[in-house]
Amino acid sequence: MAEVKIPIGPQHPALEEPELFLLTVDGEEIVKAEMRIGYNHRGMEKSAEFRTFLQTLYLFERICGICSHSHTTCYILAVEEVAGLEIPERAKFIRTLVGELERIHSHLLWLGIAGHEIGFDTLFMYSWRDREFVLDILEEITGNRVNYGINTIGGVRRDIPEGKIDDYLKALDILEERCQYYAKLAFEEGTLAARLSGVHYLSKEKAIELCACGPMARASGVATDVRFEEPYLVYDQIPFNLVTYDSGDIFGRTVVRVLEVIESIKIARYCLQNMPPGEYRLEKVPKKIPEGEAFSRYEAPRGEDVHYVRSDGGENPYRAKVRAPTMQNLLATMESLKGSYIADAPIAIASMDPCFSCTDRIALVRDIRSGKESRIRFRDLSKYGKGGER
Amino acid sequence: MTAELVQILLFPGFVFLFAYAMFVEWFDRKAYALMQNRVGPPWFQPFADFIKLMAKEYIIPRRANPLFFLLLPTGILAFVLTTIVCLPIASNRALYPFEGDILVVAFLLTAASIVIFLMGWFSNNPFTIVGGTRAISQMISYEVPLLFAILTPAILAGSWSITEITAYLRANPILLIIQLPALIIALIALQAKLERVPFDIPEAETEIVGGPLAELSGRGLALFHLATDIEMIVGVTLLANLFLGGFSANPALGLIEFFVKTLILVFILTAMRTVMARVRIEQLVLFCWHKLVPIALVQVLIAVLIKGWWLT
Amino acid sequence: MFQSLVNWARVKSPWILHWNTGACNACDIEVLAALTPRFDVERFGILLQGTPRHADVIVCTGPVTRQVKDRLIRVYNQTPDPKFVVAVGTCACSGGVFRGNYNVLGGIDQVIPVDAYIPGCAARPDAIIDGVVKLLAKLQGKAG
Repeated sequence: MAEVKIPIGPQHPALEEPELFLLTVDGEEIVKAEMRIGYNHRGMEKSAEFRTFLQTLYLFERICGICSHSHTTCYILAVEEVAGLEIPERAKFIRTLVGELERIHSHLLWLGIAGHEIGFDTLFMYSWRDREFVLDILEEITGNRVNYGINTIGGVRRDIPEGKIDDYLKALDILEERCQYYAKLAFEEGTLAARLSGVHYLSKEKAIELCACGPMARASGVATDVRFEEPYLVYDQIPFNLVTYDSGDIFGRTVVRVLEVIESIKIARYCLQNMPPGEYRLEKVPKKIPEGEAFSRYEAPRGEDVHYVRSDGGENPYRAKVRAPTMQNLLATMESLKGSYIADAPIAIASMDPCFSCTDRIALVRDIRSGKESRIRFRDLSKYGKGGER
Repeated sequence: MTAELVQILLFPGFVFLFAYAMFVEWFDRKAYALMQNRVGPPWFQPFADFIKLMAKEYIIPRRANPLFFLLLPTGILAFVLTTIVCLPIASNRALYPFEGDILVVAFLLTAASIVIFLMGWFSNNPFTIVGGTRAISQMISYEVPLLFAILTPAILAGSWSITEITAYLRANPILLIIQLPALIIALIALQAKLERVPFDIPEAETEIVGGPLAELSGRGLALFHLATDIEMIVGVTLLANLFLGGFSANPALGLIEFFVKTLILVFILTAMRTVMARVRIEQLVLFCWHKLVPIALVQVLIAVLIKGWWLT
Repeated sequence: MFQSLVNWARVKSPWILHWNTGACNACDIEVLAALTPRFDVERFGILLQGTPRHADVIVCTGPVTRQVKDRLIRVYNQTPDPKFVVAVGTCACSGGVFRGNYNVLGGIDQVIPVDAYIPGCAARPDAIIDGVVKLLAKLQGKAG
C-alpha cells in the first residue's frame, strides 16, 4: 500500500482541542509524524499587558480550563513576590487544597479520556462519575465547577464553608476507595495492560534529554516534582510521597497518575484537617505593583508550569510570560511516535495529557549577537498567529 | 405464492426483521448504558435515529465514486436480508431450505463485510481507506475460526442444511454440550464480524473517525446502521440454530424461544463490549490464528471422532 | 403527517459534533461531562459523533481564532442539512474575555450562523442540556 497521510485534527474525536498531527503511515506503521500547533493561539500574553494585575489573574484562569488553578496560583505567586506580600497561612492552605483537588479532577479526567481513546468507554464513564465528587467539593468551596476563580491578590476570595469539612472528608474517603480499585484494576486487568504496556516507550535518558516533565517524566523514572524540589505554599509542611514508575510506557503513566490521585487525596485530607484559623485574605492590597520581576514554578497536574511577571511600577504587568508543561512534553511525544502503530497514536498523544490551549504561545527566537532590533509590530503578531493555515 | 410473499415481506421477513433490529439495537444500547451506571436511551430511540437519518441530506463527497457511493448501502442491506431465505427464524424450518444453505449464509455475511471494505475504498478519504484495509485484515482473521466453528455442528449432524442440522441437534441435545467451545469461538468471531468493541478496529472512532463509514451521511448511514443491526440478528439467529438447538415448530413457542435465545446471545455480546478495551489489529490477528484456530481445529477433530465412533 | 414524523425524529435524535474553536477546555470538559453518568444525555437521544458527516448539531466552544476560522467553515459545510450550531460558553457567544485579542475574531456567529447561545464560564452541563433542549423546542415550534 502506498503511503497515506492521516491527519489527526484539527477536528478529531480523539482530540479535545484543535491541533493537527499529520501522520504519514505505511500500512499500519507510522513512518513520519509532524505536528502543527497554534490553532488555539489567542494572544493572551499580549492582552495581559492591557489589563491590570487583578484582571490578568482572571484572564490567566482561562489559559486552560482544566488546570486553571495552577496557572492562577503560579501567576499570583510571582505577583506577590514582586509586591512583597505575605499572605495569611489559611489562604495558603486553601490554595493548596484547591490545587490538589484540581489535580485529582484532572487525573481522573485523563483516566477517562485514556479509556475513551482505547475504546474502553466503561472506564470513561466510571472515572468521570467519580470525578463528580471532586467537582462537588470544588463547587461548594469556590462556587464554580471549573474555572474556580478562588485566587485573588493577597489571599483567596472565599473561606471554606462552615461545618462542611466532615462531608468533604467523607467524600474523599469514598473516592480513595474507588481509586484503590482503579489501581488494582490497572495492575490486574488483562486487556488494559496488554493494550498499554510497552507502547510509546520513553527511556529515562531520553526523558531527561528532551526535558519531559510531570507524570510523563515520573513514569520514566525521573524523580522530578516542583513540590519537592522547590516547595511553594505549604508543601514543605505536608508529608507525601513522590510517585515514580520505571516502565516508561503508557501503562506506567497510567499507574503514576492513579497513584498520584491517592497521594493528592492524602494531601487534601491533611489540608482539611490541619487548616489553621484566621484571616483568609489581606485587608489591603496595593493596586500598583512596585517595579521588579519574578519567576515562579508550580507543579500543575501535567507537569511543571512556569510564569514570569515583570512590573514597571504601574497597574498593568509590563510583561507576563507563560510556559506550560505540554510544550515540554510534546517533544518527547513526537520523538517516540515514529515507528509505532496508528492504533497507538491517539493514546500516545493523550498519554502526555495534552493541553494545547496552555501551549499555544508565540515565541520568536532571534540571534542577539547580530544586534538587530527585536521589536515586533502588532500587525505582524496577528500574522504569526494565523500561521500557515489557509 | 402469496403466502411466501407474505413470509418474505412481513413475517419473518423484512418488516419483522426491521422492527426486531430496532428493538435489539435499543436492547444493546440500554444494557450497555445500565452497565455503565447510566439511564440509557428510550425505547423508540433507534427508530427516531433511523427516520432522522433517512430525512437528512445525502452528501456525496467530491472525491468519492458516486455510483458505488449510492449502491453500496443498498447492497449491504440486500446481502444481509437475503440470508432469511435459508435461515430458520422463529420456527424450525427455513423458507427455502436446501443442502448447502449454511455456506450460502456464511457467504452472504462475508459479502457484507466486503461491502464495508468497498465503502471505505470508494469513499477515497485517508480515514476510510485505512478503515477499509483494516476491515479486510480483520476479515481474514475471524472468518477461518468462524467457519470451523460452524463446521462442528454440520459434521455432527452430517448435513449442510441449517434446517436439518437444527432438527438433528434438537433430537440429540447432548451434542450441544460437546460443541460449547465452538459456540464461544463463534461468539468471539461474530463480535469481530460486527465490528464492535473490542474488535471495532476498522471503525475505531478515536483513531480513524468511524473508518469506512466516515464519509457517509443521511440515508446511506441509516441503511448501513440498519444492515449492521440485521446482521447482528442474523448472526445470533444462526448461532442459536446451530448451537442452542434452534426454535420450536409451534409458532408461539418458537417465537418465545427465538426472543429468549437471541437476546441472551446479544446480551453476551453487549457485556463483551462493556468490559473490554479495543485491541490492536496485529493483536487480533495473532489471537485469531494462534488461539482461536487451534481450538477450533481440536473441536472439529472431536466432532469427527464422535461422529465416526459414537453416532454411527 | 410524514413531515411531523420527521420533525419528531429530529427532535428525539440530535447527534452532536463537539468542536473546540480555541476554547480553554473548560466548556469542553463540561460538554463531555454531560455524556457521563450524572447527566447522561443519551436519555434524550443525544449521541456524540466523531465526524461532521454524521452530526446534526455542531456544539462549538470557545472564541474563533484566526487559524481555526477556515476549518470551522469547512466543518460547517461538511455537515449535512438540516444542521444547527450551538455556541457553548461566553467566549463562543461573544468572544468573552478574549474579545479584542489580536488573534481572536470573536464569537462563533462572526463566522457561521448560530442557532442557540449558551452563556456561562464555563457553561454547566445542566445549562448545556437545557440549551440543546430549548433549541429543539424551537425547532418543533417552527414546524408546527
